[in-house]
Amino acid sequence: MNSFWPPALASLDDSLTLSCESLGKLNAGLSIDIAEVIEQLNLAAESARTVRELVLSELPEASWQNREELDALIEEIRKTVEARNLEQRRSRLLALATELERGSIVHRRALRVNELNQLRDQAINELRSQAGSGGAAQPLPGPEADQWVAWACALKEPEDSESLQALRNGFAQLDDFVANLEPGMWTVPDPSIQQQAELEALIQEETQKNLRSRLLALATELERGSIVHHRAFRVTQLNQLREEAINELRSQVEGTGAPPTLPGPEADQWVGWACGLTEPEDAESLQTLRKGFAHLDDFVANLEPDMWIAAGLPTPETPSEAESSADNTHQEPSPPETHPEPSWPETHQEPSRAETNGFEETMVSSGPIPIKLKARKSSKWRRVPQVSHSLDEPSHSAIESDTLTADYVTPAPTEEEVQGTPAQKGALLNSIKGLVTDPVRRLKHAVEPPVTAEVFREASAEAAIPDHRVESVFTAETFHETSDAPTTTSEIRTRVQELFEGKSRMLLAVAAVLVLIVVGAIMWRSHRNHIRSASVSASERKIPDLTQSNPQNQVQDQPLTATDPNAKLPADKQAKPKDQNATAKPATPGAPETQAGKPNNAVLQPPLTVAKNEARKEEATPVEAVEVPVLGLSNKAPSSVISSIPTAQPKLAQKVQVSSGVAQGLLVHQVTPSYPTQARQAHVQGTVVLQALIGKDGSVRNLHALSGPPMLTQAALDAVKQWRYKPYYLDGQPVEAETQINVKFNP
Amino acid sequence: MSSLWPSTITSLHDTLALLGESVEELRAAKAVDVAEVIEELKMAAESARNLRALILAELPEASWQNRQELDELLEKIEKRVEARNIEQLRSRLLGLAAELERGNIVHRRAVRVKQLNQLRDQAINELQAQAAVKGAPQPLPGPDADEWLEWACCLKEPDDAESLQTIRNGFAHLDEFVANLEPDMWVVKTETAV
Repeated sequence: MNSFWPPALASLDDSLTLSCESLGKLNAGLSIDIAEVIEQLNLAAESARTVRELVLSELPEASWQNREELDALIEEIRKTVEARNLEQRRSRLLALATELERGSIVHRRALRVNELNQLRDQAINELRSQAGSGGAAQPLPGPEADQWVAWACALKEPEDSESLQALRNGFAQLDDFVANLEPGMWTVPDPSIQQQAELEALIQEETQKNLRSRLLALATELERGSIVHHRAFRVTQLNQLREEAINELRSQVEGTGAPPTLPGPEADQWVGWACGLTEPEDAESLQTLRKGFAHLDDFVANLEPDMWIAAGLPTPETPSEAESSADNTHQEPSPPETHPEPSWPETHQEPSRAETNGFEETMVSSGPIPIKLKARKSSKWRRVPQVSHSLDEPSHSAIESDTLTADYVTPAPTEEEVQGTPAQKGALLNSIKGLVTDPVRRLKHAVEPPVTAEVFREASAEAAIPDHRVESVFTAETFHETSDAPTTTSEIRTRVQELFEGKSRMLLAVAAVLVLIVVGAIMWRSHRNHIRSASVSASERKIPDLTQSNPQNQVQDQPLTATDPNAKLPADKQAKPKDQNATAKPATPGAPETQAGKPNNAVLQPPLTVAKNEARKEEATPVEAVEVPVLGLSNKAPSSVISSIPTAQPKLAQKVQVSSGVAQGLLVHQVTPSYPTQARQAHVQGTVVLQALIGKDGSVRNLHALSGPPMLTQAALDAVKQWRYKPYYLDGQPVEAETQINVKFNP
Repeated sequence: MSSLWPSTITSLHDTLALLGESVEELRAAKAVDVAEVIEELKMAAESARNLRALILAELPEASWQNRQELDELLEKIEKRVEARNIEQLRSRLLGLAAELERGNIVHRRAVRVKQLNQLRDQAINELQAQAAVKGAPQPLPGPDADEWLEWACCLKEPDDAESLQTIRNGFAHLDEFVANLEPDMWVVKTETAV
């Protein structure tokens, strides 16, 4: 009788022995209990099947003809299994040694920790020497390595004397260690936590990368933007602050640690957002900004929204040739006006206040390349066409008139730059020309340049402010000058000229100045605070525009203020009460016919909005031509730092590998595997290791066995395929998770 | 011995041999058709039951515990049956001799009657001599003594050549007697009341 697989073989032989006894009785002609013999035969057949499966599970290709060959095969298998058991035993010892190495001893006394560490080292050495010995390793009682220390520390005498004796006999050092170790003194790091930490580190790395990218984008945006102010000194100061902010941003990016979090939207909208922060409402964002980016905070604290022209936004317009020619009779002659197509060097030749008449302040601009003087009519930050304009390039507007109005800032696009939209260009240039050359406005600005400038900025905001009554006179004119009523505008101008040429010219001028001063002061004060909110709200409305690098989108957006009658209606209503007659004025004769392309748009637009939007339309083409990138950032609405992380993690969202511990934590429905009868009878036990993919819905897919006793594999697969998990979420999105599942079979 | 014996024993042995093969396959953990094995088992049990019945019919008090005892028992029964068969043979020969003595030969010629009486006496002597032989006597074909002469006088060649040959081989004088005897020449004395 083979000593291997005694249960199965013994059962077989026992059944056959009983059957043979019955057959012997039959052979002697004696009576037998047929039912009993049949039962024995069935048992024998079952046992024979078990033995067959045992043999085939170990040697699938095995074949035999009789009991002698079967015994030979079993002997061969026995040797193989013994070798494997020996290897498993060694692996178990090595695993325990590793487990002991992984763990840490915690005790209030360092001396005790040292003692226990020594004992642990001895135990580890003992385990490894046992595992490495050539002969059969001593069997180690107890559970698997990850539970062994807890099990061993819980052994008591005399209840567990057998296990303790086995431990003592085979592993004296290990026994000594666990005898001295209390359960609370042993800590082992959780592998799932390590994996989670790795995942978190990866997410943190992605976050930092994203944050650095954001900082770089903002630094680039700051570099490319322009600072506009009517004082060169102020521009210089702001430029210095900007440089410091840029350096700060870059140093944060280049730093080794995690850069501080930058609050606010994407780079192209950031300055507008930052300039709109107020205390105490935005104290949190301001505090974050201040702590992490002191220079940047300093810069935006000194920067007013209307001082900043973002890169890529349309620059303010300069008078066109058409308007120049149309207004020649009303304006003081100036060389640039006679110039058919003013060039940038000409327009920037008189940038400073000293070069003006002392009342009109030029807006000094600082852009990507030193400081620039540009004509400007809008207080909004806007994308500047990627055309270099240096400070020493005089503004055409400045040259054109010594009555330069307040917001001449951005380099006005030349005719060549605006050729893409000639109709808009004509209307816009006409309106600018009217503004520049209109004596009423000139007088008004001459008397109170700051107020005028402020009002001008306010009026240039997208949301028209009802109280801008002072502006409404000339804005209405401008509106109609840009429209198809040049004749009426000309008549008005003629009448105004005549008025000023009369004797009462001075009196009227003084009266007008006084009225303007009073009204302007009131309006300036009342809307001082409103400017910021209007700017912020406008910037918020402009967010989608600013993020659109595609000129088509910019054009599509214009209907909100320019081409959409519905959108224009409120603004139109604001403009009309101030100058109802003006709306009926004919178009300026000098208006180019090319305006016919979009005449209605101009007519229906509120004056300054028209000017601004037309300017945008004109500059849309250069923007498109230059193809200003939006810093490579998302075109979406502003998002927080965290919310921007997923954009950098598409790979993570596909499939992740999770540890069995993590997967265990997600398990919501578990079906216990049924122990196969044959395996139970044969006392086959062990762990079946399965590989599975937890789907986004928590179902188990792609299930297959990696290792384990073949007799137990199918039962494990059958059970695990019915398990259900909670979906594994990564960055808020369910992802597929690959994991290993260990199914233990203990009879 | 009954004619059932050989078939019963053979059937038992055959089914047990098949069962033995199946058991050996099971012992080698090979697959067997259990239903077929059970059927064979039932057949073997039936054969054993028949065998037991036959033994108990010969020896109602017989008992055995194993095959060896069964074999001894079967041998004993066989001897008994054989002795009984010899005795029956002898009785039959003596019965026919007595029957021949009892009858009378009738013929129109005295010389013929005398010849036939001599042949009858030789046949009687032959039958008695055969019955007195130690061991098994020659088997005598045909029916019992009272019907035997009539049966023998009716034998024809070649139809009854086998029986005639047997008579001729074992009982030559008897054969010569019945060959000369015609059925109407034999009269058996009947017991008449005086």
